[in-house]
Amino acid sequence: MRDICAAAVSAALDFGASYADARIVLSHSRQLASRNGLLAQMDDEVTAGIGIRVLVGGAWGFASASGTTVDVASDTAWRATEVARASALVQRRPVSLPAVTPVTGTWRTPVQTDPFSVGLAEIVEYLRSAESGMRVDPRVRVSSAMTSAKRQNVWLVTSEGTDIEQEFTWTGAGLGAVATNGDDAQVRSFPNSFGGQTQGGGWEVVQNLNLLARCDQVGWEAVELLSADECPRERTQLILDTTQLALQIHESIGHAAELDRVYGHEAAFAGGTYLGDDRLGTFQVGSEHVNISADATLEGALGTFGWDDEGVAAQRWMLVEQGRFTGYLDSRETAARLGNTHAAHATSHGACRSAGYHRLPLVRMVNVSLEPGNAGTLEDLIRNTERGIYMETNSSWSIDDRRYNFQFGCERGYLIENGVRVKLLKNPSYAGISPQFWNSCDAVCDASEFRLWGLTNCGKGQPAQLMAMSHGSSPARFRDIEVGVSRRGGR
Amino acid sequence: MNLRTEEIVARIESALRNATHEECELVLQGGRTSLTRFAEGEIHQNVEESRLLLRARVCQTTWSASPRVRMGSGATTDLSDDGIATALDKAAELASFAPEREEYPGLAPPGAAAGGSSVPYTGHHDRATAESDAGFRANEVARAILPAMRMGYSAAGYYRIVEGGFGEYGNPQTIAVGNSIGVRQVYVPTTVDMMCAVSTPGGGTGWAVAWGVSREHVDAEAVGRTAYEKARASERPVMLAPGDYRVLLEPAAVAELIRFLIPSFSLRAVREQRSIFHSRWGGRMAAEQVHLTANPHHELLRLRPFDDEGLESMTLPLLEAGFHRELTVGWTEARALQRPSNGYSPLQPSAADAVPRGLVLSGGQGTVDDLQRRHPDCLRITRLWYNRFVNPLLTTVTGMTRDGFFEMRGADIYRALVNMRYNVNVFELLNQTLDMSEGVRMGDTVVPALVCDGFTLSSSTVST
Repeated sequence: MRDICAAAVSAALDFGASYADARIVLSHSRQLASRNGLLAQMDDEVTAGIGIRVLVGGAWGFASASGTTVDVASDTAWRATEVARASALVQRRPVSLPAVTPVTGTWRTPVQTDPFSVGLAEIVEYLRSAESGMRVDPRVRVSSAMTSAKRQNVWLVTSEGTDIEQEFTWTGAGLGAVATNGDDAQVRSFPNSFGGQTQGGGWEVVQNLNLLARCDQVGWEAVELLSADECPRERTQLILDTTQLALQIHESIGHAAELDRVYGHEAAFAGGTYLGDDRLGTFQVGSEHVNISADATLEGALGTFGWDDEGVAAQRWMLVEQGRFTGYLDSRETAARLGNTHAAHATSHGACRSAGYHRLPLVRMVNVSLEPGNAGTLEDLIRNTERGIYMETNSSWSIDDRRYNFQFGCERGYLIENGVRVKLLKNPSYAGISPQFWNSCDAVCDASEFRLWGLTNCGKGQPAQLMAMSHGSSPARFRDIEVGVSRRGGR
Repeated sequence: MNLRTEEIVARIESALRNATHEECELVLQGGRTSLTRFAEGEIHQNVEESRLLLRARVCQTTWSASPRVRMGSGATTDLSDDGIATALDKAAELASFAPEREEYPGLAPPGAAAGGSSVPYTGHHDRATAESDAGFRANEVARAILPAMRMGYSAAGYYRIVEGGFGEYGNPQTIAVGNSIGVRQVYVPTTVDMMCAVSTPGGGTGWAVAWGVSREHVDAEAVGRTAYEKARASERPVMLAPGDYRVLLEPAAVAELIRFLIPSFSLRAVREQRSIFHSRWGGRMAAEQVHLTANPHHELLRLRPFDDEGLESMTLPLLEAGFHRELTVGWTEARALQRPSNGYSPLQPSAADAVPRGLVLSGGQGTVDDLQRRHPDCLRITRLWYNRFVNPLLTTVTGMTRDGFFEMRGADIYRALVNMRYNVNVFELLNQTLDMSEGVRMGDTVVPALVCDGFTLSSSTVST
């Protein structure tokens, strides 16, 4: 595969490219799901193809195709250069990539048990047991359990001499129950919503989730929500669990810190950002409790790699330090441009990633996390809260195109009074403005509560592509937040 | 890549003939996407992607007192004889580990949809569109951005041509289905769309989009001009107090909202009490002039006319004069309920519901401007963004206005408004509909502009 990539790069140069990179991606995925007593999904997918990116006359072109033969590589290289020539027809600023030291090497996700080596009979039985275990009451109308495993082998060769090979293995599982009573439908998920938990690793990821020990509880929790009170509408203290914080970080900090948004690359679709380059190093995006890292080296995370899809080595850097905005997620092209005004930020941190061989690498999140604080455990935090709402497990998320105005919903919440959870709440929701929200953070729990959550459905780009990354945090508390916003139309 | 219908048919015929499995199905998905993306008045991303995926499904039936079926599926991008055989073998291996299903009726036979016939080898394909190259797309981009560039404004967007089928996030969609009991369907459409957003130094943003089945249907210059004019009109926006307002939703905004109705029309969702129609079956859901149809065959859409099992998708009235009428159901569930399928089956095996495709909202007349003149005083919303369910059962949805939000007086723009968050119940919105224009294509829907009361704007985006 390495030789075919090299042949593609060579062909692109022959066709007139000044720069070329070629990625071959072999992917094997398997998804199984049990739903209401039936095996609803039993899929095995194997794909292989090549994606080639070139610069011709300072303009980008990209082409991809299924297949990994030399002929496919050569034809795709030709198409990429033709596309780049057309790009040059509407161009104002020729792209020039700063020189880099080429890298060579291999990297692979540490795996204890190959998920594809686990017997199908064992997986099927596991899923059916976990799924049936949620049907604890006739009001549980839908019970579902799913597992997924994916392995990607990626070869990247560039015209600058970079030559790397990586193997990624991601494994996940989850439970979901829907309880209804004719007038209401309530969802409960474990360990997280929208597919459960996915991590870098093997079958041990599933084993550690211990679905069989939790399935009946998930069913009962869905039923209990049917008779719970609605979340009140008020301004109050809000405590978020780590699953919901993962999405809050993702939407209101992670996306906002993508440097391509600053330069308008996403203006028509994903949008811009409130973190313009004039705010780099000075803007107080959060309180002193807010420290947010980008880290492509975290073990077990989905945004972890040896090198990104431009061959930039994985690293850890800070996006927010004691509330101050200090760094971007970037690519070689965007970092070089930022370097014109912020010389210390001229080199890419390695956040240019692609969803597969068929897609162009874009600025994407690696693992973006809220660093632990010193507020003790979640129980300590609740004990130290006179009145507030605790929310967990995301059910709804929306944010504007500058990553400012957001509204989130969760699966369940609790009213806290005098340091005690006093009442279960359904349909909890909250809203805010990103910098105001993060500046209201007055406590982050300690490292003993830190959890890392995989997110597999982050959409960006045109053509749109889904990317996976993880977000870590400990539970945190925010002052004076508007909750219950989805009641009576949200006003 | 070659997407000629005859060759796809021959490939499927050959693979089925060579298959060693008695009951099997082959589904071909994907095709080719060419997309030129621009920002700051220049092309910054430009791609041509080819991706065909073949899904193989194998059913293994055991005949005792009643048939019991196991099934599994395998998929591959290797379309050689060996590649397809390997995918079929993988599907068979998975099937052998699957529990037996008693109610599963097996593969869908040709013509099994109610009132339908399996029409083999149909298709709509515009060759000139499919063969348009990157130079053509670059020229269209140049035409679109010209008005903005002349004024020193920033323009961003894309021009896209798709040959075949892809979903919202690029997941390949079905273009051909064949099975071992005679179903043969192929449909390789062309689709063209262009989007342009213009922003001004004065804080104005404007946006426009156009869709069609061939490149003649997309006027790049008009798209760019509309976005430019909206951006100019959007400058110096003012804050509006949260509240319930009468609004004119342009077609792009309507398309965003009505897609949240789709899950409600699944028969399985109703049976599982996840749909509002569990309690309001046949009830009045919208104003009298509102008609909502599932019609992938509509002349502005020409979507794939069959479902993922190859059965023809019927044209279904979902709401008629505001009253609920039909639900969608696929082959498997239909047989279990001893009723006909109406051709909306998802890929099998699947955890997904059978849901409508090709939504057509109708009942209005005239253009959007005609509608504005009939309702001269209201808020006007170009586009809605990051729209998400708040409560799927009730079809309550939240999101943001974007790229052109105005207060209209006397059918003219009185002032631009700062974007706001909305929270609405989509069925209630249709129930409070006062008037509609004629429909236009927006993505995979045909929708009008719509004037309604009670649109809840809940908060503004304030500067920090």
